[in-house]
Amino acid sequence: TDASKPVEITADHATFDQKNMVSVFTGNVVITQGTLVVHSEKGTASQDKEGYQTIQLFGSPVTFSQLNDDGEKTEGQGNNFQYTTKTNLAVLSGRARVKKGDNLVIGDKLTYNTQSQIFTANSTDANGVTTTKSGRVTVILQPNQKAQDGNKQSGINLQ
Amino acid sequence: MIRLRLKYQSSRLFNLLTVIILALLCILLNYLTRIDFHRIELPKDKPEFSSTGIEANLYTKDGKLLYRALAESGLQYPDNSKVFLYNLNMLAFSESTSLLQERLTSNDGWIDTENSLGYLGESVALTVNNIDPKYIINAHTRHVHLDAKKQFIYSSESILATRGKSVMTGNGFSVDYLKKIMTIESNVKIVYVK
Repeated sequence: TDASKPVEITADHATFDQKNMVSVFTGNVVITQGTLVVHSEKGTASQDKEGYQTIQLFGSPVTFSQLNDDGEKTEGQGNNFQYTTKTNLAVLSGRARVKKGDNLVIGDKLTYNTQSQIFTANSTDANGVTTTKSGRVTVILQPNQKAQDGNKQSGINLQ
Repeated sequence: MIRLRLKYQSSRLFNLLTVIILALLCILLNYLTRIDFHRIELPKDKPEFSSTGIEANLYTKDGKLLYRALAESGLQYPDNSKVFLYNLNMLAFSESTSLLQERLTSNDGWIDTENSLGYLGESVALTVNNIDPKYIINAHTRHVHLDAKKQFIYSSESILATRGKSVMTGNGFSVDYLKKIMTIESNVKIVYVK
């Protein structure tokens, strides 16, 4: 799986603050881990005193794509992305959208818990401001092409 | 006929000239006595001092070894505050554990005794030790400028650093030891292996 692969980061410029345990990457930042590829303009990686790590990416937008184990491609974009090992939450916000296979979710803030694998979508961001046209969450689920054999279950658990 | 009357026009002018000449002579004499005639003879492109097997140690107040600088050879040119050193090996020890913490080596370099600046030329290698071998850092670069007062080093050359299986490369870097901040100027690439 991708998680066991090395993480490769390339950027135009980087600063490592050992005292505050913060690394900042700027300029055409590309993060690769196995099939996961993330593009952004700026990225920061920090570690708190208890050892929890937080990654933040900023772009216009931040984009990512990844091949799932079932061969389907997941891709998405948003103005900001944050992942922290403290809560295992990956948050995509700011005109966020995620496409998995043919299924699509659009919202202001899309959250994915890497442990519980629960995916949530909100129509307003943390400040209560909506950036989507409809001001609501949009989810498009395509009928499952292989419904006959019934063993392929894909969909999103709505909260 | 006009006789040159200026000749003995005034003793005051004569006295003034005498005072000026004497003053100049005094300044010249003062300057002359400070010249080290031995140095005047030394050619500028030949070292005035040289030495082999150089070792310098710096200890803490309670006698613990903190820094050790070794060099295979060194030399200094006349009227030059730079000491040129060859096959350098600089070691920094942990004040708490006395273990070797950092090792910096270089083929050549110089230290300016007047302004605490330094330079490391070719094959600069830095090793930052760690009890866990997985976290030992090795860095390789060249043409490194050092400012001992500001505790700041920088180079415009490429750098390759490894820590365990993780690798970092880039072009141009600086390290601010006081703020503990390292900056890589361009072409940053990091491969991080857990």
